[in-house]
Amino acid sequence: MNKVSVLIATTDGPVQVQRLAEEDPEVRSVICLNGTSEALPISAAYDAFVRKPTGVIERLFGHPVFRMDVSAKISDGHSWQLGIFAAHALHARGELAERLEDATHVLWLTGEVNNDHEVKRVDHVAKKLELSAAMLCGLAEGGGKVILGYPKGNVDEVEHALTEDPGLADAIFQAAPLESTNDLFVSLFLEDEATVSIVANAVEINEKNPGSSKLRLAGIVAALALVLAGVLGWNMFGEISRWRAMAASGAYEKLLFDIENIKNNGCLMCRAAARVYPVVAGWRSSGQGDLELTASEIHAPAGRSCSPFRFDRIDGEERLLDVASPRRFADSSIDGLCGVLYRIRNAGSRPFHAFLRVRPRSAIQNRAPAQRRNGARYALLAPGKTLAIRVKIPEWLRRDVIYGIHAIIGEGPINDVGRWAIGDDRTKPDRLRKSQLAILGLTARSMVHRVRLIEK
Amino acid sequence: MTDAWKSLTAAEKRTAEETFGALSIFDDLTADAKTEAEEGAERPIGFSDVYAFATGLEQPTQALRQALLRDRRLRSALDRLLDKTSLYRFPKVAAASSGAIEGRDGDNYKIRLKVSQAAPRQTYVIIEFRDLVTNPPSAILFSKPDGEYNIHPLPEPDGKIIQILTDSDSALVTALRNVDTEVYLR
Repeated sequence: MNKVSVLIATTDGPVQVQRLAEEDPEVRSVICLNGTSEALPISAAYDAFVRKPTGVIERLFGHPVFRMDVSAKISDGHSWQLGIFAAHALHARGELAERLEDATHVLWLTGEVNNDHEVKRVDHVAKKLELSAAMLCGLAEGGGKVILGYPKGNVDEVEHALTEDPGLADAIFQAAPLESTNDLFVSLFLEDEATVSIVANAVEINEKNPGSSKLRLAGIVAALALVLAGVLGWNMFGEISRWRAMAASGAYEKLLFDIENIKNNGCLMCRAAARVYPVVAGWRSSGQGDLELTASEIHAPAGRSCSPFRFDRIDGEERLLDVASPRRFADSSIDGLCGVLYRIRNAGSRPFHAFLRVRPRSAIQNRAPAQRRNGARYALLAPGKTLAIRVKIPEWLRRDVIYGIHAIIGEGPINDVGRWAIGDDRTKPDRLRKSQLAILGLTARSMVHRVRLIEK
Repeated sequence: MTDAWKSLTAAEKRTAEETFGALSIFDDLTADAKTEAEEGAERPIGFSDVYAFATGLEQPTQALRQALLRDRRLRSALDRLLDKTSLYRFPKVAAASSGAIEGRDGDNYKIRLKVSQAAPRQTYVIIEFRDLVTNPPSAILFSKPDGEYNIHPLPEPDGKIIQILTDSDSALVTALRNVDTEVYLR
């Protein structure tokens, strides 16, 4: 089992979480110094961070009052919240190391956590790193895996600080910019969870499709064998969990670069991890079955023209289009057609990030960058929710028009890579793009839709 | 004469006169001690020492402790001063069979003692206000029947509650558990 020590970064140096224990619900939560009865001034703020309705800890871990002991004073601010949150998460899993010498991993954390579990930017991160450098280097030399966790908004500051101090950069096992505490879970819960989740996913897939082919069963067995091999190889799963953290935080470019680099220069187990990773990424991400992509014609209500629709004064009548082939919607006739509504629906049971783009592929040119931007939308979709783009068909069409509809879904935010992933780079071979999408854990679907001037 | 004096009611002026009269007597009584002290090493205990303790946040000096232990009238003077300067004085608790209690109830304040589950050698002292107060207490003072006085500064309240964590065998906790202890919030 992993034992993780939590260091809360402060402008006076790192402060270690020494102990965390449930306390009588009739008292207030308190942070004490070194096991003594000296309560730190931030205790009232800690109580508010723990207790419902303002706090996040009770909501997640069920108990309203805790006592925490730390190694030095934390005087002010809110940047302690991420470290405290991590300590509670680890405590709940029985993985909080009370002594540094017992820790397999050391988490150095700074960040403010709001009620929606977002990790907000904080000040003085470079100074905190500087004051922690000697200790972190010492811990790394002693065999501890040092992980930095900080708000995504502080990425530049951290990268600059690590560039300035190569010794510290070498000591860091992983630097994890975090957008939310969920990212922290991905970064934190390393080999065990990766193993359990993968096995659980494999079992779930099998239960859903008991009659699936022997090929799939063989695939699962092979994958489990790979997982087993990974358990034997610490590096392999260390790398996989690190890449998963990158994917979850949307650091796709870095992920692709890192995997490519490992394939060429990494250790044996690391190279094996790079080969296995696209399969692992696919298991945990939403699949084609979760992505429902539809197109609907919009016609003017009986007796009316398309003009009110074009000026957004009426919604029009929707008629769902058939799918002519796996990559093509049935053609539409321009006759009475005011517009087309292209829609992604989350047909799965888990939320996913979705990117939808619609572009004319021929005969019609968008006239301004603003219009081009209107042809792409991005959202985090809860199960059952939709994301749609409405295209108004111009009156002045003189030739058929073909629209390209591209949809991508994934576990992490995908807006930044949407343009790349849906293939604007025509020089990139389709096979390469597919393999890269697999690495990123993204699912993509492309369709075309022709609007004909004359019914054929 | 200051405006503050003018703004006092007749009853308040009478109380002030009585207090100053008592303190004057107290100074006369300790005059001999002062002379002895001037001859010896110890500085005599005067009104300023008692006043400083009753209105400050410092623990009583060793000299003041000893003077209070041996001089009943000095204790009475301090008690009267504490009565005047405190926000609230908890009455003595009606006798309990064991002589140990886990809290005190007053008109607007309540004190509870809770042994920590996480660290049983430490105890929470929780002072609750029934209503929000504009001028919350900044210290808790107590006097034990043997003449021992002590003070514990209080943190800022959080809502209607002030919570202190202290060792279970501390002077504060043992005093609060004793039914014969007088407790003041100031």
